[in-house]
Order: sequence, then C-alpha cells, then structure tokens
Amino acid sequence: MVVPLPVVRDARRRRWTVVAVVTAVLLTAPLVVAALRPAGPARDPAALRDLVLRSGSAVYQGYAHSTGALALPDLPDLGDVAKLFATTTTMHAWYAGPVRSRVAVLTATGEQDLYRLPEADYTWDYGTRTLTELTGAPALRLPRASDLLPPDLARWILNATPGDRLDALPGRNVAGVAASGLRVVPADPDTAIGQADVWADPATGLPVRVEVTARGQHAPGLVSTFDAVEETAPVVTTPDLAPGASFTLTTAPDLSHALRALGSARLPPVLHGRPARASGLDGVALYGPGLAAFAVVRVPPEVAGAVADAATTAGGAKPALTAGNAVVLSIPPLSLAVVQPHEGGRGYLLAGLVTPEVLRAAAGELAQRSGR
Amino acid sequence: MIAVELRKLVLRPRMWVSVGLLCLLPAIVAVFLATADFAPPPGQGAAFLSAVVSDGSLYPAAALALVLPLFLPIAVAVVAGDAVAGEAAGGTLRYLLARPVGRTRLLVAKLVAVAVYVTAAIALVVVTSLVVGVLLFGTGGQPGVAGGGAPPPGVISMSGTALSSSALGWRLLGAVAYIVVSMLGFAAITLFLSTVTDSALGAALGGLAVLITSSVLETLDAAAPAKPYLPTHYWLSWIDFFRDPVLWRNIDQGLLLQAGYLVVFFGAAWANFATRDITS
Repeated sequence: MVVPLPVVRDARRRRWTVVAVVTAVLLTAPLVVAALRPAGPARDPAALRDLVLRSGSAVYQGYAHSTGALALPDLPDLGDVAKLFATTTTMHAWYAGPVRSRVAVLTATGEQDLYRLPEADYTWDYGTRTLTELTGAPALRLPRASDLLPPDLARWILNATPGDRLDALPGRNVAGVAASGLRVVPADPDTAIGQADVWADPATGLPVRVEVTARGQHAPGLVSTFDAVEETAPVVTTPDLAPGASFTLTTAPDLSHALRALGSARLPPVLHGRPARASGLDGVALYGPGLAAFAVVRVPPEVAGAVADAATTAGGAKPALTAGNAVVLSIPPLSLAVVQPHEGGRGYLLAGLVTPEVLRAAAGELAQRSGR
Repeated sequence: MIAVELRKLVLRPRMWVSVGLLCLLPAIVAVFLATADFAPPPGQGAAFLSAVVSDGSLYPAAALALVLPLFLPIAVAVVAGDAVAGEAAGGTLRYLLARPVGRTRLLVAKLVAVAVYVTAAIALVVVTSLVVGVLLFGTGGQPGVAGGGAPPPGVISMSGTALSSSALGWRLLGAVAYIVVSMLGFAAITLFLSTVTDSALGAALGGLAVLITSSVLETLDAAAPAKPYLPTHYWLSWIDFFRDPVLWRNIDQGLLLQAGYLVVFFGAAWANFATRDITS
C-alpha cells in the first residue's frame, strides 16, 4: 500500500472538507428556509371556523396534493373513488369563485380536468381525448378529486360539525402562507372521525391544509395540503374543443346512476333510530346528521354480490343476522357494509364515516325488513 | 482537452451501438403499434403512447417516455462509468495524466463529453422517432364530433388545448433540455463512482444500483420525506411541458435537485480524483 505524502494528505483533506461543507449547506438549506418562514398567529378557533366557512369567495390558484391511507378494496363501479382515498392525488387548481374554477388532476401519463363555469360544467380526459359538457346538478354524487382540495374538504368538514368542540392549534407555514390552525373534535360517538385539523390563512380564511384522523388512530388517514398557492384571481375560461378531440354532452352522473341503484325501491324511513334525509334520488337515502351520517343504496343482486366478494377478500367481518347475509368492512374512519337477503333479490350498500357497529345494526334491520 | 475527449467518444463503436439501440426501441414499438392499429388503453403504457396513433408528430414525446425510465440511464451509466475507470482498466490513465493537463480539467472534459453524448443521444431519439412517427402514423387528428367543418390538424396538449407546430417544437426542446440536465445529475453520480474504482463495469453497476434504489423508494409511502431528494423523483416532470399552462413548479424543482447532485458528486469526484494515486 502506498502511503500518501503529507502534502497530498492535506490537499485531500481540504478538498473533501469543501465537498462536505457544500453538501451540508445544500441539505440544510431547505430546512433552514422552512424554519425561517413565519408561522401563522394563534386565533380564536370559533372565529377562524366562521372565517373558513365564509371563504367560498376567496380566490386562489395553486398546486395541491391529497394523500389517503385508507386501504379500500377494489370495489366494482367504485374504483376511482377508492383510489382517491388510498393513494396520492396531485392537483392544479384555479379558483375564481364558486362557479368559475378549474381543477386538473395530474398523473404521469395524462390529465383530467373539471371546469365549473356559469353556463355549464365540463370535464376533459386526456386518456380518451374527450371534452364532456355536463348538464344538470346531481342531487348526490360520488366524491371526486376536487372535493379533496384543502378549501373544499375543510369547508365540508366544518359544515358537518356545527356544534362540536373546537381547539386552537399552533400556527404553521403552509406553502408560504402563515396559517392559523384549529382542531374540531366530533362529539357524536357514532362517527369514526376522531379529529380534523384545519390550517387557514387568518386574513382570508382560505384553508391551506387539512388532516383527518380516525378515532383511536395517531396518524392522519387523509391529508390534503397546498404545495404552492397564490391568493390571486385566475382567469378561467370555457375550454375550447381542440381539433382531433371528441365532444360529448351528458347529464352529470349521480350516485344512483353510478351504483346502478334500483330507483323503484323504497327505503325505510328510519334506520338504527336515525330518520332518513331526502337525498333527491330514488333508491338512495342518507341517515343521521353531520359526520355520523351514512348512505344506503339499494342495488341489484349482482352488484351486491360483487361488493360482498371484494369486502370479504379485504377481510370484512360477517355478522350473524336473523335474515340474510352481511359483510361489514372497517377502514377507519370509513365503514362499508353490504346486505344480501337470503332469498336473493335486491341488496343494500351502506357507507359512511361511522363506526362499524352503526352499519352492522343498520344492516341487520335492512336484512330483517327484506326477509319479511 | 474537451475536443480530445469528444473525438475519443465519437470513435468508440460502443457509443454508436448504444445510441442505435436507444433509437431502435421506439422504432420497434412504433412498428407494433402501426401493425396492430390500436393504441394502449388510456392511462396504460408510456405517456403519449395512446395519442400517437392519431398523430405521429407527437411520437418523439412518446419515444422519450419509452427510453427515459431505463434505457437512457443505462446508456449514461455505461458512458459515465467508463469515463475514468475505463482509462484505468485499459492502462491509459497514467499516460493521459502525463500530459501537462490538470486532473480537474480532465474531469471537466470527461463530464462535458458525457453531456454531449446525452444531448446527442436524446436528439437522435427525437429526430428518428419523429421520422418514424410521421411515416407510420401521419400528422394531425380527425375533427371531433362537435368540431364542425374541418379544423386544421394539430397536436393536443394534456390539458385539451391545441398545440401549434411551433408550440410543440419549443415544448419538445424544453423537454429535451430538461432530460439532459436530469441525466447529468445521474452522470455525476456514476462519474464519481468511476473515480473510486478501476472497473468501468463496477462503476456503471454502481450507478444503476443508485437508479434502482431510488426507483424502489419512489414507490414506498414510508419514504415520503426523502422522496423530494431522490435523484429520479422529478425525472418524469418533463411531461409537464405538455400541459397548458406549462407546470413549471416540478420542472424548477427538478432542475434545482439535479444541480445539487451535479455539484455534490462532481465535487466528490474532483476531491477523490485530484489527489488519488494513479497506479494504472
């Protein structure tokens, strides 16, 4: 082995020191910049909540992502919804008002856009290169990516928890916004949501980050946050049809259509002591208030069977019912259940941010009702 | 010095073989697509692949999506890994350094040669795939159902807007420049490995090990805090040139990240090579 001369050793040490210092500076620079960004001031949570609920007119344009950790099974007809809550969805949003906005869902191979404009809603799908004009406003629809943007998600949660406990959270800096925080703790023991944390711009009320944690869990199961946001008005115009693209005109899909609900079927007026709320759709009903609400959809036997198979494969429990079979799957904070009457015929899908016990009881009542 | 390195690069048959293979892969895919006459279902396969059947002028973008994840990094790893270790293995490094040329200059010349190789390789992929795409698929799409009349043909951006030929051209140029920078960060890692071993194969495999590790961590949710620092994290952001408006955020982040890798690993190569005992 050749022993280097002292002068070479010194030169080598100097050069590696330079490299080490540069590396350390590059690695710590983002952390230092993040630490130097000011956090938002502590605000009265009730006042901040009101500000957030009134922020529907706060304009913005930004880049956000939502990450769900709900390991939903591959449910028939619900694959896109399951992905929203099980993976990371990246979005580019332009919001000029409640009826003038564009949300682009970005993927590595394409893009899907939703335009909300005064004259109509439009969707663009790069995969099929189709621009679709949506007519009508569905009374109840399946969740879509734009619902998971921090402003939409925060307002939905705070609207659903009007009288629940509010705590102030330490401020933090989110995407350059010095945001103030609040925590809402749902009081209803039937909801599976333990807490929801919201950070918003204390000046405009624009929510910039939301974390939803299931009851009994420590890590949030759903996080939606801006990575970059500017509170300036974007220009959102009607999308032009590019040469070579296709155009379709269709009614906006509702929950009943998406799940092939049986419109002729009547659902019970009360389930598990909760009165049905008008959903505006035949074969679909909502039971219970706020976050403790759950939806019931009456579906054909083949849909019920396919969902039951998927839920069983995913580890769903099969409670003993006096009439019919049921599979109940809990992926906190979401619970799913499917009911299949013994004699075949129509089944029921149940879903909500409630404890599995609630859906188990409701499933029992539905099976008994079908057995009569 | 740089001219000498470039001449050596051009005269190496393996360089032309690797570039030929890079151009061949998109051509093979294009032939299969043209023969089968149907594109992959939307959302499946490489980006742009489902769109090229109706417009061949977009095929260079599809070709970049085909070669970027694996074939291009392999070629870069082979060339960068060979840069110093290949000279050492061939016994020519001592003679190279006997000339009145500083080791730092030699290292810079090696990196410039790799950069020229990457640029030339990507440019050839773009040109050959454009020719193949236009020949096999033609240019321009069919007017849509509600298109009315006969609108002029054009390429559609990922956001649904029509792109003129000039807009497509500068977006392609931007994508090529971005990919070149992305590959330079990776080349710097492999060049550093090339200075710590006398085996060109070992250095190239080391570079590929970094590539594989980074790609595996990309799929791991638990590695989320580290992902923005992985060398491959922003590689696919060249696609953002084809959105409307261009999504600069990830492109900017990717350029910054690659600049960081370039500085750190070229610095490490310089620190190691400049004071290393050359015995072969």
